[in-house]
Amino acid sequence: MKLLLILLLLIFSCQKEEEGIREYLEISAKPNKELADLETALFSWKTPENWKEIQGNDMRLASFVPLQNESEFLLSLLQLPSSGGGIEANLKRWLGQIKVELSEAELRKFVEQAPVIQTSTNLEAVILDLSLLPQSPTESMNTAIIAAPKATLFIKMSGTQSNLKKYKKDFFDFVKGISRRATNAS
Amino acid sequence: MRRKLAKLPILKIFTSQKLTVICLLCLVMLTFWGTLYQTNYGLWAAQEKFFRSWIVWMGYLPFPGAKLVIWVMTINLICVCLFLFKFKFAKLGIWIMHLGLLSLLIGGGITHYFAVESQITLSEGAYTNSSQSLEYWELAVWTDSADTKRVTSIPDNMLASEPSILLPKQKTTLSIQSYFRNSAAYASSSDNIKYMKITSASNIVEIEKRDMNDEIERNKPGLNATWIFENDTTFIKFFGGEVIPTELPCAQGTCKVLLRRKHYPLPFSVKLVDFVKDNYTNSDMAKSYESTVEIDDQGQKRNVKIFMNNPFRAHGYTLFQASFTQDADGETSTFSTVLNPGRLLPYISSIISGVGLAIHFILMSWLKRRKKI
Repeated sequence: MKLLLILLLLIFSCQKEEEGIREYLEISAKPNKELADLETALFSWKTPENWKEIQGNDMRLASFVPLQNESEFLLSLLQLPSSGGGIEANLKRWLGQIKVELSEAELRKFVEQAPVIQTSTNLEAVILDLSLLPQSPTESMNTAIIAAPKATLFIKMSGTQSNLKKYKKDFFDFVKGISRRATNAS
Repeated sequence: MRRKLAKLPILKIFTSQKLTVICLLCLVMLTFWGTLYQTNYGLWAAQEKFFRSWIVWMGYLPFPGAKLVIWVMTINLICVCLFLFKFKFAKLGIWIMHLGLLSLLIGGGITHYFAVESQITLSEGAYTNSSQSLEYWELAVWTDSADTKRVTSIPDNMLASEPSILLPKQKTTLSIQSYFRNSAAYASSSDNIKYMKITSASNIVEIEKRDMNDEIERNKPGLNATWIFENDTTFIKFFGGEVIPTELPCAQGTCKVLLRRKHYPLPFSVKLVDFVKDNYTNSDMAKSYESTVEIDDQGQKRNVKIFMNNPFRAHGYTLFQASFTQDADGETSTFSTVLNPGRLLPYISSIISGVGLAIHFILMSWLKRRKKI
């Protein structure tokens, strides 16, 4: 019986030690120059009145949802150094996210026909509305790519096709409101 | 005496072979369910539910968790050795084999209770001397802005349980209003210019509690606190998604404070020199991938290759090639880091059990031959 009690005591006393305040020497991971640049947002934007801005994280500058019904869409801003991999590579990545496959010829045609709009500060934004593709599923996305010196901004609005259509004008207005921010990093 | 004790009802149960069989069956079932569960809920959730728990609830029905089953098996094995086995030369092999099994179970216990798992993610050219937990968080405070810094770390269990934490070196007090293990943060949308400093905690106006995610790495904690230095009181909101620390007044002038994944300092530093991924022909699917890392062990530098089934081991730590990303911003490699004091026990116990079996068979055939003679 004593043995059993000792064993039970052993079982329940075995817990990972809870630590208090620690001190240690840390040698930081040295980020490369491009990643260091990305710690500063190189673009600025105007949030539409009916949208709510959510705190960004890691590489994502910011995210937005509608004020009324948060589930209608999610718009995110991603800033990548230099060309950020280019239009076609990112288009392929987005198509992969909605599980649509296009041949190289279809892909090129889609990019060539993509409308280009000017933002308020004369940046060129390529609009890639994936919801217009015949193969697009119900859950789709409307995207834009704005290339600027040193960085490229990727704008992605994801939601159902009907919601993307509903917020299409807001999306265009938002893209038009993007401007290049004057910073030391730029 | 042993025989008398073995007749006690409780010891009858714990020395029963039926109990061993039931336990083994339970483990088979738990492994099966755990494997299925992992498909939808991830590895961590499956481990927590089936293998690190005492009881698994299958709807309203309780089922013993692997932790309970393994403890029962250990007690069962100890009781059998103490009360049933005879101390005879002929049983030497059986004794050694069971001691091997016992050390295997003890090794499992040491791994469960004392192993520390973490991750290192490096882009090419980057280096670090610490790995990051996926499960635990810390509020890190430091003053230096150089590559090498002395960090004061407050663990998340303290943030969750202590109403007030004194930092003597910084001569500050952190008064905690609330700590959420998973949260969402909302920034001010009225002034976009403010938002340019995207990672400054001062822009967060609201931290909202969220339900814990089954995939542990997706949880981001939030902290509402007051930073008190001399007569200066700052209300502050920290969010686990931030990457740039908040600057706050302290005895050293300005302290940098960041709520981040718990860091474990390593006795060496790791630099990712090169990452190579080999694809199957005409496909993006990885055939193999490997990382060349430079290990700086107290000034002694050497290059090692880490790839699948070829981890790097030093000072009790094992670094496995876990995953990678190839993105517009370059290549990053992720290493799973394990510090396991019971790392060698499975090997030792397998050898002991093997030796025990060999001795048993040799002894049996020898005794048989002797009987015939």
